[in-house]
Amino acid sequence: MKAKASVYITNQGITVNNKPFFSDIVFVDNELPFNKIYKQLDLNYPKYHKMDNLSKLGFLGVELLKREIDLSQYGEDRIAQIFQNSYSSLDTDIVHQKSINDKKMPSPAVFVYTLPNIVMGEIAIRNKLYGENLFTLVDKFSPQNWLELSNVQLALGKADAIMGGWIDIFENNFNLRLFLLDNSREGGLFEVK
Amino acid sequence: MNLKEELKKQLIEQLNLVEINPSDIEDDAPLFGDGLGLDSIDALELIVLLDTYYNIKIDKPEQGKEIFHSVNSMADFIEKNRA
Repeated sequence: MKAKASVYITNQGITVNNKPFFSDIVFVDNELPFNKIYKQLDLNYPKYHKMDNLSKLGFLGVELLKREIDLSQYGEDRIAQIFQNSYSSLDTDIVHQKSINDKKMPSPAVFVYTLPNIVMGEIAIRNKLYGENLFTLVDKFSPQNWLELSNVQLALGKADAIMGGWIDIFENNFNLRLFLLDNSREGGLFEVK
Repeated sequence: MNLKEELKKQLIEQLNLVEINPSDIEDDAPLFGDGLGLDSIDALELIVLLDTYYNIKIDKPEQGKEIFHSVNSMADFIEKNRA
C-alpha cells in the first residue's frame, strides 16, 4: 500500500513527496533547524514555541504535509494518527531530570512533554482531529509493521485515513518519516519506507 | 529597570512568548483569557517564576487568580512579599 503524501525531515534535509523542500535552509550539525522551518512556513501559532522538540518535529511535518493534501476532505474524527519511535520522549525527559538534579523547581511546561504521545495531541489540537491514535515504541522503523497497524484501523472502519509514521529525536539527531494513506481505491504514489 | 519591566521580560522568557515584546504587554491587561492567552500550564509556570526569581511561595492556591491577573497585580504581590 502506498501513501498519498509523504514528508521526511532528517538531519540531511527535508523532502515532501520525494522532492527536496526548503533547500535554502542550512542544516548545521548540533543545531536544530525547526525554528527556521517554522519561520519559512510563515506560521502564526504561538503555542509552537512552547512545544518540546519531538512535538515541534511532528507539528512541522504535518504543516508541510498539508501543503500537499487537504485534510478537510476527511471527517474530523476519520483521520487516525499512528506513530512509532525508539527514543520515546527521552530527549525531553533528560531536560526534566536535569532540572531536578540541579535542585531547581522542575518546569511544568517541560514535564507535560515527558510522554511521546503528546505530539499526537499537539497535532490533533492544531488540526482539530478527533480520530483514533496510537504511539508504539520499537527499535527501528518497520514500514511493514506500520502499514499492518494502519490497515487494521482502515479495515475495521475506525478511520478513513491514517497519518503518521516514524518520529524520533535524541541529542540533535532527528528523523521524521510522515505519511498519509487512505482507504480510497486509487491509492497513493509514495512508498512507505 | 523597574519591577514591572523586569517582570515582563521574565514572563516572556519563562513562558516562551517568543513572538511578544515587553512593550506589547500592558501593565493592567489580563494575562489570561483575552490578554496574553495564557493557559493552565502557564499558571503553574508563573508559580515557578515567583519562586525562582523572587523566592516567594504561594501558600494559598486560591489566591492565584488575583495575583496573576496582570503585571500590576503580580508586581504588587511581589512588593508586599519579598524579603
